[in-house]
This record gives sequence, structure tokens and C-alpha cells, in this order.
Amino acid sequence: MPIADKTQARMIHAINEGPGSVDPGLFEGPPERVIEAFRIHATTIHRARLRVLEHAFSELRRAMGDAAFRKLCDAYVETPKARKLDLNGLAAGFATFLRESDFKALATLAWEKSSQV
Amino acid sequence: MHCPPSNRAGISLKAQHFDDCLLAVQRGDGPGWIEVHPQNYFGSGENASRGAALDRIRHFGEHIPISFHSVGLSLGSPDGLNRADLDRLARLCALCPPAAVSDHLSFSGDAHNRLPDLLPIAYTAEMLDHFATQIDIVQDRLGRQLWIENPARYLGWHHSEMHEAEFLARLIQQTGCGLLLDINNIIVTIGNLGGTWGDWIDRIDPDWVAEVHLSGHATQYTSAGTFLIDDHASTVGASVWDGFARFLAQAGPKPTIIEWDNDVPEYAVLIAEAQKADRLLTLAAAPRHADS
Repeated sequence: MPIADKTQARMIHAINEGPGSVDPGLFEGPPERVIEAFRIHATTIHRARLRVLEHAFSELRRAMGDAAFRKLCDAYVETPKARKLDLNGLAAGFATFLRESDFKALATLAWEKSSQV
Repeated sequence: MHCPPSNRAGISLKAQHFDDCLLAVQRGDGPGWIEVHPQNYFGSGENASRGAALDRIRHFGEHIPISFHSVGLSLGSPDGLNRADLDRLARLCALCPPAAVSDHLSFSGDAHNRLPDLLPIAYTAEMLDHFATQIDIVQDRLGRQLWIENPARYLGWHHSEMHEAEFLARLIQQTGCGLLLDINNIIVTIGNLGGTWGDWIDRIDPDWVAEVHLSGHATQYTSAGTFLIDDHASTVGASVWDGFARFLAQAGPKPTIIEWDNDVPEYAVLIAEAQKADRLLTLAAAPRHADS
């Protein structure tokens, strides 16, 4: 799969890293439209991950409040470890993250940040 | 387990509708069949709430056909499908034999990046061979036909070599898989990438189609133009009903499911959508009389 290996890897990289990593030349249509389409995919992925954590950790969410819980989830789902997990593994990984994290990892989310500009 | 009925619509069943739906099924006015995401029931042996949910699903299975609509096999991943997901799907099929199993014409990352979305693949000869191999693996493992759904797309790969419908036709010829024709996904893809949905539907050989999906979509206005979003968060749109009617006129009735995954309404609203589909299926099944 020489072509798909490379092109799909570039798509994954762009979803993970944000709009600056998109190569619009890989897709049909104007670059701004391609970037917007990537934003749709990135948002879908981020929301799907958050929904799983909200469901699995509903009591923690209630105790922390929505905003603080969301920040914690945002930090976790963008870690390389979490990105390797499918939705079934994500919740289990979150428990480990909570035990190990010193919350320094409240990383900037490139996609979310860019959508606020 | 019986096949999904071609003359009755079903619903994508959510946990909040279990009680209402089971009551309706026992009363005799429930949906013709139901569809669930198998990933929601993985690990039911270790997780008590999932175990209980699976018991409910098995109970449904005593009354009506159930379809497993998978979202996790990632058949288009260049490093191959998600084998762990396939193992779990096979275990679930053994525990609760479904009437049908389906997944998507898409990929969801790779072994190092599991992205919970249905990302577009390029329609090339290279990908066709790869995708066909992955379907063979699934069909061999499950010992049954897999149904593949056309995706909702926001992006079209520059290096695609053929139309989506042609790619599906070749895939079906190569693997013997079935087509899960999602009318909403055609409307969304055409709305985002151009073309006409009638042309897309007309390219479909009715014999390929094992199931039809209907759902709602949203319209998003951005500085880069308008996008149709496949959000499954509203009633089925007028253009989707039009597309369904056009397809039925060519193909006759086919097993049909109403999907509603976000902002899920009360059961009565969802079943009303299925009943609307039922009426079109009944019309499509009626013998046609030539005008004289």
C-alpha cells in the first residue's frame, strides 16, 4: 500500500497536529475548504472521545464541574497514549492517566484553538 | 435468526429506548427490526452494565431481527483492519447471533492512532485490492457476508481513480459483500463535493443493496462555504426522503433503518420516522398497474 500508506499517514498527522499540518494539495477543492473539512473531522473525533469519558466518568464530572472535567479530558485525549486507544480502551486509559498525571499536560489543542480565531 | 424484513423499517436502538421499544415489540406495533453498534456491547463479560445491556439485546433478539452495525473495524487502514475489534465482534456474534453485520467504506486511523471517525479512502485500484482483502478476512472470520456502507464525505482525494459507486461495484464483485446504501450519506457527499445525487443513486444495481439507511443531517455555514454535516441529530430531511423514493422506484422495497444518534428524541418521534419509511416501503411493494 505504498501510496495509501503515505497519504493516509499525512491525513492522520494533520488531524493530530492541527491546520498548519494540512496538505491541501492531496484533496480536491480550494485549500480553505479542505482545511474546514479537516476541522469537521477533528471536531467529530474530539467529541467522540469526550463523550466516552463523560459517560464512563459521570460521577467525577459531577464532582469536578463541567469546565474542570472538560479541561482534564482535553489534556488526556490529545496525549500520544490516548491517541493509540480505541473508544473502548480510552476510558480505562483515563483512569491510569488520572493516577499518574500531575496535570501539567493541559496542552494547547491546536484544532480547538484555531477554531476560536 | 431471521433476515431483516424488506417491507418493514427498523430503528437504530439506543439504551434510553429499550423499555418503550420492547413494550411496543411485545404489543405488536414496534419496529420491524433493530440495529445496534456492537462496540457498545464489547467487554460485556467484564463490565456489569454492558452485560445487562447485552442481555436486553438478546431479549429483543427473541422477538425481532437485530443487526450489528460496526463502526470500529477500520477496513481501509493501510496497516490492516483493527484485529482486536474483529476478535471482539466475533465473540459478540457468538454470544448473540445477529441477522446482519455491517461496517463502513472508510478508515479510522492506524495502529498508532485510533481516530473515532469514518475517514475517507481514495478510490484507487491499490485501495480496492487492499479493502477487498480486509473484507475477506472479516467474512472468513465471521463466516457470513459483511455489508459495507457508503460514507458521508467532506473530502475527496485528488488521486482517486474512480467514482465511489464504481469502487463499491468492484468491491462487491471481488468479495461478495453486500451494500448498505446510506441515502443521507449520498446527499451529504454530493452537497459537499459536487455532483447530483440522482446520478449517484442511478449507478446502483439494486441487487447489490442489502440494507438502506436514512437519517438527518445539518447545514453548517463557514467562511469556506456551506457544508452538510452527517450528524444524525434530526428527522430525515426532505432530500433524503426524495432519494429514498427514487431508489425504491428502481429497486422495490429493501430492509431499511432510521438512524438517530445525537440529540436522541423520545421513542415516539423516532418510531414515527420508521412508520413514514414503512409507508414508502408498502407503496414500493404494491403491484404496479399500467395506465390504460
